[in-house]
Amino acid sequence: MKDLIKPENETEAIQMLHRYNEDVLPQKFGKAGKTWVGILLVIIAFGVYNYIQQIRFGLSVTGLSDTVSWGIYISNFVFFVAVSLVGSLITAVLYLLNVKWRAPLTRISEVIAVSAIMFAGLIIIVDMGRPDRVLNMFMYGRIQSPIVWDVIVVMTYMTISFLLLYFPLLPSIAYCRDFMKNIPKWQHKMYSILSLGWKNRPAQYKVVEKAITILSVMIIPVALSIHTVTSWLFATTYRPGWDSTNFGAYFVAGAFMVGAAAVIAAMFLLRKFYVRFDEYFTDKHFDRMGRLLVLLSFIYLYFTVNEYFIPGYKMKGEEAAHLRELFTGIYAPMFWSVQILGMIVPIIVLLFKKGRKPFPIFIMSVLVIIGAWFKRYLIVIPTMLHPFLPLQQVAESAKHYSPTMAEWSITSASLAGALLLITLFVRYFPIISIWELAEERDIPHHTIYEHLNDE
Amino acid sequence: MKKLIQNLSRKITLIVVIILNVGICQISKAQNSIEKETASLNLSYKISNGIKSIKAIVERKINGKFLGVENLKLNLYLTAVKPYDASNSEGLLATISTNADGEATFNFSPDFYKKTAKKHEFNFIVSAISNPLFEDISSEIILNDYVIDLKIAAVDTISSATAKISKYENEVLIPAAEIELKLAIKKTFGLLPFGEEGAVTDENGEVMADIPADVPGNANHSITVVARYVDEENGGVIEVSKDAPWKILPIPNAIPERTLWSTGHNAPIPLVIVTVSLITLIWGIIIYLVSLLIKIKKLGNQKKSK
Amino acid sequence: MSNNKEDLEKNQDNDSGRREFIRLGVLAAGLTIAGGGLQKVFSSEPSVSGEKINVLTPDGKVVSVDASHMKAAESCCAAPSSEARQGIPGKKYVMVIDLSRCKDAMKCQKACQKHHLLPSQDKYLKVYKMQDSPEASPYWMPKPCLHCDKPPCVKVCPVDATFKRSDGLVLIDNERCIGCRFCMAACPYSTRTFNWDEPIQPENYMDMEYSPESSTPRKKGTVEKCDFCPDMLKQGKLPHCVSACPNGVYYFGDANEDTVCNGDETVRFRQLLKDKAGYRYLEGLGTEPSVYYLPAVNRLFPFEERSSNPS
Repeated sequence: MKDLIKPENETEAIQMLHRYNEDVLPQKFGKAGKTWVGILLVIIAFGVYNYIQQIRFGLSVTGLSDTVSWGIYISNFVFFVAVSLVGSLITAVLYLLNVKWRAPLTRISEVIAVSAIMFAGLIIIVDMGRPDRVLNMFMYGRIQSPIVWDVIVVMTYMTISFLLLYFPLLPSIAYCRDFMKNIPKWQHKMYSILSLGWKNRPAQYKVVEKAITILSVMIIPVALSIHTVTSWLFATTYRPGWDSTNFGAYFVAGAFMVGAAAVIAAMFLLRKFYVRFDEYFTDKHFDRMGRLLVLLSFIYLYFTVNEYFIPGYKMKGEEAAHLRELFTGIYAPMFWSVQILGMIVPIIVLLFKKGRKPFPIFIMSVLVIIGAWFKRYLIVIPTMLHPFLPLQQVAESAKHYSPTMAEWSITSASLAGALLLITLFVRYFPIISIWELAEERDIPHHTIYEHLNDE
Repeated sequence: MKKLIQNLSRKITLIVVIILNVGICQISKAQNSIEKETASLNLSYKISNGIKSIKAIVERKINGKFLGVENLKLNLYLTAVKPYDASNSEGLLATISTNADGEATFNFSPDFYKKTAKKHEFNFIVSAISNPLFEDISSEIILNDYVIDLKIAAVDTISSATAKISKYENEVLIPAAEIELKLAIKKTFGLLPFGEEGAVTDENGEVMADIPADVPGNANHSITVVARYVDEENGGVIEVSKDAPWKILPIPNAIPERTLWSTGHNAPIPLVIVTVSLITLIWGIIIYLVSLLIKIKKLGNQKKSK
Repeated sequence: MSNNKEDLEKNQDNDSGRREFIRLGVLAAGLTIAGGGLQKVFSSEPSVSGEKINVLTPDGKVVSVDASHMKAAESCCAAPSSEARQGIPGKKYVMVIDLSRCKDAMKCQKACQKHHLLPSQDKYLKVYKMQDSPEASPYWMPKPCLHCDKPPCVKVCPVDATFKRSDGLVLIDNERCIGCRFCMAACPYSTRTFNWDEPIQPENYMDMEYSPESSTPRKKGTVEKCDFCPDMLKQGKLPHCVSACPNGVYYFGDANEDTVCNGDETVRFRQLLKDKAGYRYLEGLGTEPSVYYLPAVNRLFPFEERSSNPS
C-alpha cells in the first residue's frame, strides 16, 4: 500500500513504535463513554429483571405459542452467530491471503466475534423452557441431534476465537503492564497475570506467530461449520421455507456480510471517540472494507435470489402460502425493506467511491446490520406460521406472533451485553495490535523488543 | 393446629388414617341437608367358561351427562330380598361398592356353585338402600344357564371350530337351535369374528366354521378361539374359549437398529466416527495451543540468554 | 378422639378436609373395592366452576366437591420414567382412522382432554376440517400423534427426552426434557404442545411420580403430546379417544397380530387397509406414521360446519 508510512531507519522506527503504543493505550471513559456504559447497564438490568420474571412464570411471558414456538430469541441467536463469523473473516481469511491493511482491524473483529458468540450461547439458554436442566445436554447428549452439533461447534468456535484474540494480545498486555502509570492496583495485577510473563523475547514471538498460523487455518472450517450447523437447525426440518438445501451457504454468505458491516461500524465509532485512531483506521481502510462489503453483499444477493426466486417460480403447495405472505402478505413490508434497504441500497451506494467515505459507509453498515437482524426474524417466524396442517382449533393468539415487551427487553439486553463487553475491552486493552502493525510496516521484531525492553 | 393435623395425617398409618377420615367426613356440611338424588342401575350377566358374574353399573345425570356413581354399596340377592338363608342359599349373597366408573362386578364363591349345581335359572336382585345421597334403587336380572361346547379340529392344513349350545329345560340339557352363536379369535382389544356373518345354530344347536389360516396366533404357538352367545333378552353373555396349537406366529418386532431416531447409545456408527474424530482433532489442536501458552510463560521466566 | 374431632371442625376448611379425604380415599378404596376397577381421585385445585356436587366417600358418607374436580386418574398402570422406555413386549400398535365415519362429534377430544387433564388451549388430538381441492367436499380429519416409525421429532431431540419404543409408541420423558422445542419445529404434523407456564392441575397430582405413559403430572417448560394412552394399553384397554368415539371412527390394535378394534367390531388390519384404500397422511415425507386413514368416501354423515368454536 502506497500510503503506508514506513520508517527510513531504526531510530525513526523506534520513535514510531513509541508513538503508536502511546496512541493506543486504553483510556479512561470520558463523559460520552460513561453515559454509553450507563445506558447499556440500564438496558441489561431491565433485561435481567424480565428474565427473572420469565424464570418465575415460564415462557408464557413471551409471545410464543405452540404455533410459533421459536421467536426472536432464536432469530437473535442466529444474528449473534452471524456476527461472530467476522472474526474468522478479517483475522484468518485476510491473514492467509496476506492482505496488508488488515493489522488494525484484527483485534476489533476478534473482540466482536468473541462477545457475539458468548451471547449467542447465553441467548439459547434464555430460550430454553428448562434452563435448570442445561446439563442434560452433556449427561444425555444425542449425537444425532443438530442441537448437540451446534453446542459442540459453538463451544469450539468460542474457544478458538478466544485464543485468536489472546495470543496476539499478549505483547499488548505486557506493554500495559510495563508502561501504564496511574492505574489502580487491581488493573496492574490483571495485566501482569494475563500477560503470562511476556518479555518480548524472540522465542515468545515465534510461538505466538506459530499459534496464530495454526488458529487462522483452523478457525475457517470451524467458523463455516458454526453457521452451517446453525442453518441446519432449520434445514433439517420439513417445514416449508426451511426445507432448503441452500440454507448453509445462504447463512454463511449472510454472516460474512453482516460481520464485515459490524467491523466497519466499529471502526467508525472508534475513530470518532479516539481521535488519534484516524491514523490507523484510514479512509483507505474504509474504502477497502467497503469494496469487501460490496463483494460479500453480491454473494449474499446471489444466494437470496436462489432461496426465494426458485421456490417462488414453482409456488409449490405448502410453500406458496409462506412465500405469498413474504412477497405480498403481512410480512411484505418487512421483507422488501430488508432486501432493499439492507442489501440493494448498500450495494449501490458502496459501488461509488464517494459512497465508501467513512460516513456514508458507516450509515450503510448500520443499514446492513439492522437489515440482517430483521432478515433472521423473517427466516424464523413466518415459516412457523405455515405448518402443513391448517391452523385450526388454536387460540387466536397462536395464529400470529408479536414479541412481548419482556422478549424485546431480554433480546435488547443481550445485544447491549455484547456491546458492553466490547466497550469494556476497549476500555482496558489496546484495541490495535501494535506489533502486528509494526510487522505490516516492515519494522523487524528485534527492534520491537529491544526498543521496549530498553525503555 | 391445621398444619399439625395435615402433617400428622400424612404420616400416619392407613388404619388410623381411615378413622381420621371418618371424622373429617362426619363434619362435612354437605351431610346436613341433602335432597336425595336419583340414580339408574343397569345389570348384565356373563358366563365365561362356566364362571358366572353379575355386573352392575350405577349412573346419575349431572348437567345432561351420565356419570358413574362411586362408592355406592350394592347388595346382591338371589330370588328374594331377604337375609341369606343357608337351607336353600337364597337371600343376600354379597355387598360391594361401585368403583370410579360406577361399576361393580359380583363374582361367586365355589360354595355358591356347589349349592346351586342343580339350579339352571337364576333370578338375581341388586339394590342400594338407605343411602344418604340416593333414593333406594333396585333391579332384577334373569340368568339362564346355557352350556356351550367348543371343539377345534384340524384336517390337513385347515382347522375348523364347531360350537354347540344347549339349554336346560326341565333339568334336561337340550340343543338350542336357531340361535346366533358367534365364533371368534381372541385378540388384544377384542374378538376377531370368523365364519359366516349372522350364522345361527342348526337343529343340533351347532355352528361350524373354518379358522382363517393366515391369522397370527399368540407368541406361545397357540390361538384362542371363542364361541359366544349374546342373550339380548336378559342382558347377558355366555361364552367359552379354547386354546388350539397354531403355527403362524405374530410378526416379530424389528430389532432396533442404529438409526438417526434411536437413542444416543444407538447412534449410527459412521456418524459417531466422523463426529468423534473431528472433535478429537480440533480439541487436540486446541489443547496443543493451550500448551503453547504455558510455553510462552516458561520462555518469559528464562534468563535472557546472550 | 372427640376432642380431636372438634379441633378438626375448627381448623379444617372444606378444601384441606377434602384433600385428606382424597388422599386416604384412594388408599381405602384400593382396599375395599373388590371389582378391581380404577380409582377415581378428586382434585382440590382452586375452585373453577363454583358448582358443587355431592359424592360418596368409600364408607358411604356424603361430601360435596366442585364439579370441575371430577376428574379421573389412572395411576395404576403408568410406569415411571426409568421403566417407560421399554415397549410392551411383542406389540406394534397401529391406528386406523375411518374418515368416512367422522362427523366431528368431538367425543374423542373431550375424553382425551379429560384423561390427560388438559386445559382447553392444549389439545393432544384435533379434528381438522380438510378439503383436498376446491371442488371436493370438505371432510373431518381427526389427528392424534401419528407415532411415526421414523419420527422426525425423536431424530432432533438433543437429550433423548423423546424416544421411540419397541411397541411403536413415541413418548416424552418430561423429567429429562430441556424445553428447547426443536421437536415442535421438526414435527410436520403440528402435534406437540408446550407448557408455557405452570400447568393448572389437581393438587394431588403434584405428589404423584411422573410417568411418560400417562404424561402426568404435567411439567412446566416441557413438551407434551398424544401418548396413545399406554396406561390403558397395559390393561388391554383401548385408548380413550377410541373408546369414546360414538361412530367407530378409530380402529386401534396390534399390527403384529394383524388386528384392529374400534370398540364394537374387530377386523383384520391389513385387510381393512386393502379393502378401503388406506393411506398415511403426507406419506411423501417418509416419516412412516403408525396412524392410517381410510378415505372419506361413501360417508355416513353429510358434512356439516362446526356450529360454534369448540375452544
